[in-house]
Amino acid sequence: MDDWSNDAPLLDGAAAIDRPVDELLQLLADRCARSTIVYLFSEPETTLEQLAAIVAADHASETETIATEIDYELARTQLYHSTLPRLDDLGLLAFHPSDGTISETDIPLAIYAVLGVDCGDE
Amino acid sequence: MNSLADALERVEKRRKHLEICTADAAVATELQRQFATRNVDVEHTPVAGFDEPGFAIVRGADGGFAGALGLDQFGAVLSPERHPPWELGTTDVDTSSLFDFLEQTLFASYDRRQMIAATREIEERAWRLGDGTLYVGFQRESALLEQADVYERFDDRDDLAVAVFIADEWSGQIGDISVVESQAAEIGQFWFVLFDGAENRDQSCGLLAAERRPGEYYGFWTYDSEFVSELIAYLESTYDPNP
Repeated sequence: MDDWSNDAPLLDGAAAIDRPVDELLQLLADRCARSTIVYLFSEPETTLEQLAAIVAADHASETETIATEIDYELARTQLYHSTLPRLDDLGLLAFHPSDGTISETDIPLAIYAVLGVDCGDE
Repeated sequence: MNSLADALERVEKRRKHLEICTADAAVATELQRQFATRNVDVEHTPVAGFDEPGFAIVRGADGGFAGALGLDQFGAVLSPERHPPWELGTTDVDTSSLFDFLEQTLFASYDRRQMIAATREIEERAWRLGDGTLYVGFQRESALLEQADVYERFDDRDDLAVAVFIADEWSGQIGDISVVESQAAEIGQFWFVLFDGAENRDQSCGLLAAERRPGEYYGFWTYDSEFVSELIAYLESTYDPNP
């Protein structure tokens, strides 16, 4: 596809904007990635274990189910092998697999807004 | 284990941790109040952007993830006055999952009606299996008499055996049910229902609660088969019920 928007910056002034829009939108279609980004707004420094719990809990809340240890392990695996490396690659966060720490680096406020986070006057 | 109180104490030591993730501090404060009498630490994590009212994450004494659910559902579990367990079947809430979720979390201030509802969860397992032995501490003769019809049916149920414990004298007869009369203080103080699961240990489960004030119970339920076996072994060796 040669649609101009595929290679156009999504937003100005942030690391993520240099990536193709399709890539970013595809990632944001993933619930695990959305939960991660939303949580990082409130807790910019966190761990893989805490994020896995948040992802499992958010999914349980939306589906009105109860998350079990299996759901937690699935979330942890997806975060470790897929979601966090991709978000890191996009420059939205820094993921350190060796110690499982995650730091929000440069998530544009517009992405938070798209995901329903009230950014206030920030 | 040297007493039923020892079992209660053991559960008290398995302190759980509850993380309340919500943007609404009042919701977290209310849950902290509700759990003040249970052995659960409640922590509030302020978060923005998730579906309201948020969610709860339960962790065990070792800090490991034990479960999570939305706070709307959690409210249904914690407010048996509004949602008694025997009415949960008519809602979208999965009763057995909720019981699993709160396993070995101490409950406080259950009244007799709530205790009977929790007891039914265990009795139903035994009834469905139709095999094994049910050990039931009724505290008083009057409580046993109230449930006599129910337990007569249990006695007729296939290979299911029942052993009943009361702290009063007993001159009645309920089928072939073995009734242990004991003046031991714990038999008068504790309400318990233990099912051994017959050959299937996965089916074993138990409920144990102390009556701390008249009509007010403090205790737990468990699906830990080893723990249930230990409780049953204690009753067998101490009271020799011969069901």
